[in-house]
Amino acid sequence: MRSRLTSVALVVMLLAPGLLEAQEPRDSVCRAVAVALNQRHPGGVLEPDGDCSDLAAQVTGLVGGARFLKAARSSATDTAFRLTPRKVQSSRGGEANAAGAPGQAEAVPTAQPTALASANLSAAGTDRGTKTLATITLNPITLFGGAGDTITAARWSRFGDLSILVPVSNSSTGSDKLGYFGVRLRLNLSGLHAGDGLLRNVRTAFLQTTNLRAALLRDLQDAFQTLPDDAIAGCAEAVLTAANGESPEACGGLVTLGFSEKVYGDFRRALTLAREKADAKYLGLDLRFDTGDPTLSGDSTLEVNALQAGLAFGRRSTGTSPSATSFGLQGRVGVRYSQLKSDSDSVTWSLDAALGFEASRLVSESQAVRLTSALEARYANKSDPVAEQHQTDVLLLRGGLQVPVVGGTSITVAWSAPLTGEASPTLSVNFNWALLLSQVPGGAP
Amino acid sequence: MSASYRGRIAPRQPVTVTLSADISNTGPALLMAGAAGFTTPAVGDAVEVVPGGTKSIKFKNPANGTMVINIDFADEEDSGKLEVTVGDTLRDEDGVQGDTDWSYLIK
Repeated sequence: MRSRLTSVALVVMLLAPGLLEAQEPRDSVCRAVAVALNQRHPGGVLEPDGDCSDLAAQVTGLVGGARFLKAARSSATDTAFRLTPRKVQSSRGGEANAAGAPGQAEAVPTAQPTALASANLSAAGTDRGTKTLATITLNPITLFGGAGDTITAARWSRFGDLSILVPVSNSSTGSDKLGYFGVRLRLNLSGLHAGDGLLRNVRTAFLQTTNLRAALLRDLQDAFQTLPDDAIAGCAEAVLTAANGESPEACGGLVTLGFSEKVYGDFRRALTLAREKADAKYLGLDLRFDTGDPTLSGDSTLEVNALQAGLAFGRRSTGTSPSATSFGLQGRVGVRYSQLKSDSDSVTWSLDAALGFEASRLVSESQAVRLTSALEARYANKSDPVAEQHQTDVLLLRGGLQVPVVGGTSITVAWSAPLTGEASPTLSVNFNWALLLSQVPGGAP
Repeated sequence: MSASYRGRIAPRQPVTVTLSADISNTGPALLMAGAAGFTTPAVGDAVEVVPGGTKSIKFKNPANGTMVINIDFADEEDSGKLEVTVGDTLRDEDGVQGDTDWSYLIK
């Protein structure tokens, strides 16, 4: 192959002298090699006064372009390179949100929404028996459009979701009515900005490959000025066929191909890390509505209509490796209005707050092991009977361990114990399911 | 799917790279464009272009080096129109189909 390029270059020099007029002898050699290369790789542009710099750029373009196209082509099947909705899905998005119920899985429920849809079935042991609660969470914005548009998905999948909580077994006493019904709305106010950050990391990875091309171009320009005339074609050919990381002998050790599989591996990691950074902090609204007995005790005197509004916030450390253990703080503060169903005059306003600690480690691109613990308080300064009816004036210690199973499924073991006030200790096992965004670029959910 | 060297462009000039994606494309395309000098790090950006949409990337060329444009289409049959403006001059305007790599010498 090397001799073929040299031969063609010689023929060009002999048969097309008009192309090589008014140039330095070395530039004429480079020009002849460029013409020969363009015959083998049609579609390129030959400058009328092309010189050795143009040949270096032409070779660099062919080498770098081939690597980009190979990566892009292989991504059609393994999506290692292509930006897909799955790649920008939050790996820290919340599970189905069972906050404020015996099946609460996280010590301090996050305001980070689920990406598409999730469900949770929890079995909670309390001092009044085992309670089973089902929670379904939907991200309506993602469901109603944009899941196939990667950037729209990245932005809106982080914005908000809606959860519905219902007991699986009837929890009211002696009645066939639904003993409890709850709604949760999470709005992540930092979501839109977080989504924008993803593309900045994609840009960084792309610019890394551009820097490598500039380095190769510089090496080639130096080589074509240094090597003997009869070695230029051989050097160009050797670079075209060299493997990543090689320094072809034909170029006298002046040229090294800095390209590597690592570059594109870094690209994939940049995407993963981008998600991690985007999810590292959040500030959102935590809105809750309950009707019935949120403790699922079966005691009709504890049934309330309650509305709670608050802010949820969190901050987590991020390292240079997406798989490193990270630590974070999560908090929540809000106001709760509750009215007894059995006595509409019994109304209580209470302050609701929680502060927690999280240690987590990403074990796949979509799942993390999480250990959480928190102190949770609700305060209204009421007498004991009233406080018990409204589930206020309590200080709880909560904890939870979430372990991913496969895909978007995980199991959480959570517990709570009252430090002060009247509240039942709980121990719950939660089975979490979450739908993942499409693995196919532009694909449907 | 193609890779091609597109010739020289002037240094230290504002560059605008615009991709207009065909409305019939199967999904969004990822457009990346940037330039790197021999002594200066690369500048540029990455944007996503939905079917039927148009997006541009703007940056300023360094004193020397190479400029690269990559398009990763959702499908090899997807297509669009790529425009490159250097300074006030339309340098390139061409239809592209499938994954595309254009490169330039900055000199």
